[in-house]
Amino acid sequence: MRCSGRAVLVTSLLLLFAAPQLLGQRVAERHGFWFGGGVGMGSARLSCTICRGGRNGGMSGYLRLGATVTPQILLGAETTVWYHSEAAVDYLLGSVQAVLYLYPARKSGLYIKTGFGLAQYSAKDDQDQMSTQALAGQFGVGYEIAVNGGLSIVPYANFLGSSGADLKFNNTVSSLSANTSLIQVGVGLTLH
Amino acid sequence: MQSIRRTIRRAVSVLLLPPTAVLTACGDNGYTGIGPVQETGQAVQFGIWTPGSNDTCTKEIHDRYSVVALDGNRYNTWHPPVDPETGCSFGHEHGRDPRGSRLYSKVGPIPFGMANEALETWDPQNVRHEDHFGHKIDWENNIEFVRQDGLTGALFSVKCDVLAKLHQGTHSKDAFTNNLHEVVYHLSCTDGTEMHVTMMSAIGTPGGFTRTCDGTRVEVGAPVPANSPNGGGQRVIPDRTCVDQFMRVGPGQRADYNQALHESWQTSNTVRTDDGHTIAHFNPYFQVFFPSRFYDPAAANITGRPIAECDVLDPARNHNNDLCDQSTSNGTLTGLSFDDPRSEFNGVRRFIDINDNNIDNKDGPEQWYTDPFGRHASQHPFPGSLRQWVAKLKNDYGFNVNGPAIGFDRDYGAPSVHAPN
Repeated sequence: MRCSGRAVLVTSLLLLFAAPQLLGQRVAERHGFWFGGGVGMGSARLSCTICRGGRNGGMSGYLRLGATVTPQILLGAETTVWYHSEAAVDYLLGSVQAVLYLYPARKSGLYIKTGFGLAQYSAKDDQDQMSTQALAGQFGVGYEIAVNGGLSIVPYANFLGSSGADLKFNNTVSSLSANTSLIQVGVGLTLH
Repeated sequence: MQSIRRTIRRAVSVLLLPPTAVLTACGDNGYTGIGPVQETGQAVQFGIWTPGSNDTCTKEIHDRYSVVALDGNRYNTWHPPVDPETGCSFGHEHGRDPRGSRLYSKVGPIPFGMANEALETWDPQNVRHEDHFGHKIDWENNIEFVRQDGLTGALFSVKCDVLAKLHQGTHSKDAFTNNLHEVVYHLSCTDGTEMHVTMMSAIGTPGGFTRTCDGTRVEVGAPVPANSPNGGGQRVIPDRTCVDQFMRVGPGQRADYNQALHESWQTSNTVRTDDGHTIAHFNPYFQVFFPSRFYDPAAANITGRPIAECDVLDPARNHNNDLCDQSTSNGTLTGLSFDDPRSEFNGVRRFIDINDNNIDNKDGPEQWYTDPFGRHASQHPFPGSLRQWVAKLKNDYGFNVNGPAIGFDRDYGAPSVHAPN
């Protein structure tokens, strides 16, 4: 699991930073509706006054769809998931956001994105569960490498963060306020 | 002549005090218990210890270990069982040296009997005097308060410094009926939880106690003071029933001293306003193994002595070098008195279950004044009030953040320590 995670990470970063040059800047046409999905590694953190504060690595991925406003501006919706399991505790971070993609150059697959929506972090073992749900935003960067027609391979990197919100422990609202963050790196596919 | 002597003694005491042995105010900028205070007199319970026949220190040496508290009165405070300067022994101990606590730099020496002293003013007709031996201190630095298994341990951590003192006399009949005992409690945690509370803890219902070995309520008699309020928790104390059942065992059986002679003083303390709002709550359980007494209605002063039981135990029992064997050189010594230094029944084996520490004081202030029982919390001092300090926060997380047992492996005994202790 750890080796495959590292492989995803290395592959994603190589593709993100080196592939455009290697592949001669092939760019998919951006028009109409689009959708995509990706998988990769994620590192999430729960922060509060009594939180341990370390980051946990895990698998993460996304699904997204939307419409092309102009060839350089895309609007859509995206759902992001991160999962980690350790010592009989399962951790899950999910997010649903409206996203805006900006392509600085029409002839380039490079994009930056931002989004705004909701995120929920939860953790549970066989006895207890806790969760926190809050407003969240994200920033990301990626590169669409055209493969065939409107299909692109997309190495990407994202940062997602949530505002502070009450933490629920076994359905009891705690006096703790917690926020979450997620760093994602991976590879996806997008079909325009 | 006596007043001149007292003045000289006080001057000598002041000269011998370490610079930190003066307590003063705490404000809204963080608690501090150290600073200049004008000494106005001596507490009623200052200087009440006098040496017994087994003790080699003088009263004067003993009373050098003193402190001037917030109220301007001089109090006895912690000292080691043996005076390091003279090598003399006091014959009793007060638990762990508080100077090792990280809270000591904030708190300073702990005065013994400040809440009792406040009660002298708050309710002069119903005072509560406690002996010197019973003041017992324990502390621990940087201890984890979140259960470390499962979900909470994976996600959360709260570490605390705790320094606690309870008057817990386990050598006399006092606690058979009396439920009021002074507690001093200092706590500071990484999540901001902090409290510094001194009060008379009402432990359970006055007039009786809970029997150690079966949980039965045992009624004994009228408490002192007569108007002692009921409190939360209970005083679990052994009596003749427990001794007969678990200590006086038959041939081949092993005496179970833990079952026969275990005391558990389970406190439940609150700082509360007149409108019923609980600002702070803490409920440490103070445990003692092998005290020098048990309740025996047929005994002189209704106080049975475990060491006396050693003389009548069945010699055919499974000895296993038990406490009676250790105390009596394998049964060769008989008739030891309860205060013989050779007796293992001296109350030096103790620990504290720290348990819950709840604060609901988000709107403050940090500094409160209460009556000696932690009630009538007010922002302004009043006659007989005690100053309390509680951090401005609410620490209800929805899951248990509570302290573990501290001091379980410690033994405060020394060759010179003996009952009464």
